[in-house]
Amino acid sequence: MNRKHVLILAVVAIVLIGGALIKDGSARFPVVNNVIITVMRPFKFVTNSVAHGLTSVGNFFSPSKDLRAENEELKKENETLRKDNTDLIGVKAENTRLTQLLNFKNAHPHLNLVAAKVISRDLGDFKDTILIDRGSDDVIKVNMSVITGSGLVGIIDGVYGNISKVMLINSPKTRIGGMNLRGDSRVAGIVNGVAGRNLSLEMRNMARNADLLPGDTIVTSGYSGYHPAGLIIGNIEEVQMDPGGLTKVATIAPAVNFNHLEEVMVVTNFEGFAKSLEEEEKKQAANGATKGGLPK
Amino acid sequence: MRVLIWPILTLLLYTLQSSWFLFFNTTQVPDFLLILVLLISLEEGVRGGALTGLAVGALQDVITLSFFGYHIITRLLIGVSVGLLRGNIFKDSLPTFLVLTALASALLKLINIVFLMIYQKELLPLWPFFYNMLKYIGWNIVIAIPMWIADKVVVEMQRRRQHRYYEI
Repeated sequence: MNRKHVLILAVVAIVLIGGALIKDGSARFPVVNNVIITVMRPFKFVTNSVAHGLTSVGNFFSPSKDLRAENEELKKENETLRKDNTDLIGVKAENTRLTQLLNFKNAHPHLNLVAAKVISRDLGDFKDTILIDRGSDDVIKVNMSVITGSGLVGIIDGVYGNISKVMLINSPKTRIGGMNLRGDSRVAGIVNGVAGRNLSLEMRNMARNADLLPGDTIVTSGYSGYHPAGLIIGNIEEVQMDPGGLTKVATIAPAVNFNHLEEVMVVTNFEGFAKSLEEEEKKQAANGATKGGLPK
Repeated sequence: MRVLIWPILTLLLYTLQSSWFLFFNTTQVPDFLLILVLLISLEEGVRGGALTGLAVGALQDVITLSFFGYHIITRLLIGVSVGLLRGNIFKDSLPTFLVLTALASALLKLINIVFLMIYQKELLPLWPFFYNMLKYIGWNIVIAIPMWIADKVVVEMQRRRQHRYYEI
């Protein structure tokens, strides 16, 4: 095969793959993906062990000067938190609804959470997927919500034996129902990631007179049927009209710091209406096929 | 056995790249696989570069699946371009390789922003991309030095081995 043939092959490959790309990557290769993930597992085990060992040694020898500085910093932070706490107690009576919704565990005591460690990040140029060390063996399934103490991280996109792939909410491909937490607003829209703007998010599809203010907290609406309502997504940074002037667009700063994700939790027992709808559709399709197949 | 060395090396580098945050808590990681594509394209030419770019891109695309085909096209483009240009590049010079690394990294980031603008159908602010590009180029240059030295050592070892066979 000479250079000309290689070039022709490359051009053909580019055209074919470009076509697939324009079709928005609908193709999936579960078998190939499974094989690669399984082969990568031992390498990951070794690198994780070495990294944790090195971190432990580094912590052991870390100078006390750093610890003193950290102590000072924590004391300052503690003072700030005490002040914030006092402020919060003062406005508690006016913000009962807000407090109730923010107190996620009280509002959703029925949710089961499985803790997982992030074992891989920066898998591609878009930095919109991570791998965690829990999979189908731990009852993890596709579309489950992944959270941290700060808020929603993403959605389970692929599940393997003891590894799962998480599509982060800052991916331009992610779409999640969002809602303004403020009691007198409750505006709902669709939240998606915006690559490039410092990992920020956008909330779209809202009426031009929607009541949104910078600083408002956005939570999941639960309207998709896949995720529980009330998971914190982030805070509104900016509100503006979309270029067409028909709807409002809000830029949201995510509550989670995606650059320093190390441990997450997966909500494993949420049964939304989406699943039952899917099952119903399957039943109807099956019935339709049976009826269509009967002779007249 | 030799055939298995390349896939294992690629997987090892990919694992190292995606686990980099465990060693250094950074917001940007070096692209080991890009450096691998550059080194093989310079050594093997168009065919080797194209095949490596294809394999590396396919690996990244199959694992992430967020935009299937993106990594295949970009890595293939880099592999073929460097393979075609290798006659004009003095590959035994480290500074030249570092310049090539910086150019390839910048090209990938440019393709990335253009792709995202087309996908999102809007103009995105350029400053964050420029800042990320600088960090990406910086990390790639840092990691390109040991990888270039390792490549030279391996190539030299192969050469000596071949000479010994000829002498026998």
